[in-house]
Amino acid sequence: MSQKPISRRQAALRHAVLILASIVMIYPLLWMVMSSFKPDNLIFSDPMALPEALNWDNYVNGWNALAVSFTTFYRNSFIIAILAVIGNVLACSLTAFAFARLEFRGRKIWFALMMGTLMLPYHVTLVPQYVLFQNLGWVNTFLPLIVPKFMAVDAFFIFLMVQFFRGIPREIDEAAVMDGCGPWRIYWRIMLPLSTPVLATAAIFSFIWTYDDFLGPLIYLNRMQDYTVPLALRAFIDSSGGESLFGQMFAMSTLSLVPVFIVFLAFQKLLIRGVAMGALKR
Amino acid sequence: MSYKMNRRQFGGLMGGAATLSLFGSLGARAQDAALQLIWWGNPDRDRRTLEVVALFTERTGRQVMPETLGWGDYWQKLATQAAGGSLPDLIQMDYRFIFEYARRGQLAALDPFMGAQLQLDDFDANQLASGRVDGSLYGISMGANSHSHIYKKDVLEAAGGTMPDMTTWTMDDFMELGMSVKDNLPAGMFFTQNMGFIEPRFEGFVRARGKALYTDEGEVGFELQDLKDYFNYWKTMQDEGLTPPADVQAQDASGRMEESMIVAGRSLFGFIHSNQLVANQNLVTEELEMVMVPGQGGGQPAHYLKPSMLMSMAETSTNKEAAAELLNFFITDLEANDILQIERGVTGDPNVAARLMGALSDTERKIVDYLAVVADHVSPLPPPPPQNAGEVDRAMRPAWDAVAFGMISPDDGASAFYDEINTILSRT
Amino acid sequence: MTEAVTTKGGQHPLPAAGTLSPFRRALARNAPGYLFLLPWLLGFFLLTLGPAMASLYLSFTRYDLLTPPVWVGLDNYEFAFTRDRRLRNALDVTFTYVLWSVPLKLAVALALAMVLDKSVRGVSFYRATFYLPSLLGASVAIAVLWRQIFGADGLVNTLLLLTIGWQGPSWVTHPNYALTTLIVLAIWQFGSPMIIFLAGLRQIPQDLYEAASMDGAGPWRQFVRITLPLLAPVVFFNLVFQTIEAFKAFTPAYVVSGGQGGPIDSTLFYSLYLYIEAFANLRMGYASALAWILLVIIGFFTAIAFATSKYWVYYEDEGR
Repeated sequence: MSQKPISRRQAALRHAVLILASIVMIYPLLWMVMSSFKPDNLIFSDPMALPEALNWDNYVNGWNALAVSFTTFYRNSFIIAILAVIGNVLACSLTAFAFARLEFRGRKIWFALMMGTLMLPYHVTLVPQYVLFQNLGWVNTFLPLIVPKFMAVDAFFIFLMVQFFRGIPREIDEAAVMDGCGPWRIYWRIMLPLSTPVLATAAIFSFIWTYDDFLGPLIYLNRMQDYTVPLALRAFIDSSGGESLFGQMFAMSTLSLVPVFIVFLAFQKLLIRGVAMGALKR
Repeated sequence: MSYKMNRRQFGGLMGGAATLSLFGSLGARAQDAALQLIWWGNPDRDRRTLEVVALFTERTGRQVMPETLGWGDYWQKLATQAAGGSLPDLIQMDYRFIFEYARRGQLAALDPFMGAQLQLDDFDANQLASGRVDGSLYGISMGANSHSHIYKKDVLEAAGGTMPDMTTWTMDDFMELGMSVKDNLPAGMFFTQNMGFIEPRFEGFVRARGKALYTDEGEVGFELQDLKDYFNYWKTMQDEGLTPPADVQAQDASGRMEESMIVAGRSLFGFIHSNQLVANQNLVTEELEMVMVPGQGGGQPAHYLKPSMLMSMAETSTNKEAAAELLNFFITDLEANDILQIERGVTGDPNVAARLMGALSDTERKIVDYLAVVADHVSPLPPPPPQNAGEVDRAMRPAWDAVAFGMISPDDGASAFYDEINTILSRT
Repeated sequence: MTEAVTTKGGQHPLPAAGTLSPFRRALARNAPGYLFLLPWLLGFFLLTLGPAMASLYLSFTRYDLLTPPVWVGLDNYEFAFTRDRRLRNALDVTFTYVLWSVPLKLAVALALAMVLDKSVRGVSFYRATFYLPSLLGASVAIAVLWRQIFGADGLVNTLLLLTIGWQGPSWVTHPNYALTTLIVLAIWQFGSPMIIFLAGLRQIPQDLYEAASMDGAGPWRQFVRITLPLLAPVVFFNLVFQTIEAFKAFTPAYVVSGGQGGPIDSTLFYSLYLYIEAFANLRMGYASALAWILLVIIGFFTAIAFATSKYWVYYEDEGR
């Protein structure tokens, strides 16, 4: 990126602001990490205190605290989240391409309906959806959590991609049409490569939101060996009066952030790659 | 357990759409074969319960599909399953919800299995009665339970307070004790959490006056004056500095014990159900004592024994005999109860109880001793709560908060809430 | 409402259109669109439409989830419009939340996205850190965390006491401040719109800025003349989506208020009220009516956004 050289003092100032902002942003995380090293009877009675020592017990015990180990929960979460990413990126980009670039009858109506699906609160469709998947025999499997993604049910991503596809000048695909390219090749060879930033964005959000989701897994998964990480984390705490394992819950919650963080770091490289593409445009 | 199922599931998933229907039928067959059991719990309870399930399978050869969730998620899932007509065969039930589920036809009456699969002849009659709804038995109590106050023993002593006889003490005694120690408490700690919003505490209050929250007909069972007296008492406690200020007290919003005033070090006394003692003790360093809730001098007991939780059977269960067998195994089998201990409460089965008494921890013994004393000072179970009783319970919190934050006087707040209760109860 | 996405530019030239029958011609023109739309159409008709229609039907019934629904006609809507005081309060809370949180969150997200778009050393670290709060989601840990930060002696009050010597209230549990605190929290979780802004900024060709620099345009003029217009589709997206999400906001209040919308219903968001009615009070029929009322409200504001967008959103594919 071409950038005017900035003075040392300006750079230092910018870093100071950014670091201060970072601390505000990650303070809760620090508190969680701190608590994960404490015994349960100190977490709430003295919440601001630093842990006395780096005691890894909560991590070691927490991993195997439930009847099924976290190895299984992570495997389940990854299977669901990775397939959801693939489904969302493929299905939503196809749909978005149709809305952004192709001419067909009823397009406005379909688009309005698609936007409408964003607006209905999901708590009221939850029960009918459960009944639907139950009749399909899909309850107690991963299918209700994955198959919908391959059918572009998340209108958020469609709308997002439509907005970005429309930011790509039409001359590019018009030129391709002149060269005899059909819609499929325009989509696959031109649109997708030119849209890395938005595809990366969609991939990041798909992964994180699916990975974080607990309502879907809660409703559709019954056996603990099928549980995802967020669902398992909720099993540590008994708010009805039984014994809870707070330290281990905080330890496992801390660990559960590692994969999303890694995914974020990995995909944000693709966000940056957009720069080079942008320069191609004119 | 069913790891094999899981591999199959994984395969089905990878195979894609072609295997969907095959996969669906596999799921259905597994459901027919295995008994389904669902409970809310925690890692400790989950382990014990799973061990008992494994023992049952070993003894009888019957497969069981266990499912466990946290309390907060449990009821949403159960309602969804009920809507789909797919409740598990055996359901851990809460006293507050058993009426809702039983009266709406979701639970199976257990009377036909009594004397057959269910061998409960010696079972404590009072505890058994707590599982009855409109005359039929819809759940078996997993353990007895009652309200209580807890306090930090050493802190009270260090502040120069002495606990009066808990079986006769009154709310005036309670306030007096507070006045005598309030200046000697550690910084930031108040005498007691505020209980103006706690419906079970209010129930104890009206019971001590010989009334109940609800009548047999499901109408309000107390007078407006009772509610006014109650709100005024707790407002006085707050104004005297015996309870935390309203915004601090409101931090205990979710009813989760980790946010309660006593665990957070902000109060000396707290209100819990007796089965919650162990969990509370795990969260604080000071030793906790458990005492009865203060009465009002009239000799009417505020307390009653209710089930900490029950085990019920779904009406939609396709294998009720086997489900009853598993239920009986949980309640009466000695070996199973060696595993379960009193984690779910003090059992009503005398043989099991006698066997377990030797192996209790100090904290668990406090619960057993406490319930033994309470058992001599109880009145019968209240009439069953009407529909929407849960909504009234939840409405008490904002009603009290308006008083606590000084937005309305205790008398006016009580009047408004009394009207609201009647509105809620009349709504279908 | 879809005015803005209609292409005003050229249509795709059709191959040898003249030799086909009208039907074949229509097919040839519409087929590619529908083929690309197929996955979505399948999902819409198989997975989305049924449950949505079911909830519309349920909104005319009394349904407690445990017994079959009973048809009650317009009773639910009548109750909502005429007698439900809690609903009016929930609308109040929700509108306040939308009006404050959406513009402020977008402003913060855009500002930081622009800072991070520049090549600062360690930029990927900052970007990740700023996104962290949005990663935290709604786990049990988070509910506890908020109390530790905004509670009576949480981090915020400790800082206030140290800096200006004032002992603040418990921010999340005081009826005067709870909603404001939730708005601050919403702004704090600006990660998603920030990432989307970043992706949008990446699509703006750098040579435009260079040219503007040569012409002597300062940073502010560059922002107004280049960044904002070229980013408009993305701004539009974030605005619409964040507004919809803010109207549907559930998690913040659910997590912070312990699921009750307290203190004194001051954080009783619309969706939270709907959830309580559906799953705590077992009035799924009434909750469904509430959902459709919300859909109409959101639909109204979204339609306004789309209708006005032609005056301020400029798309690259519209020609000039």
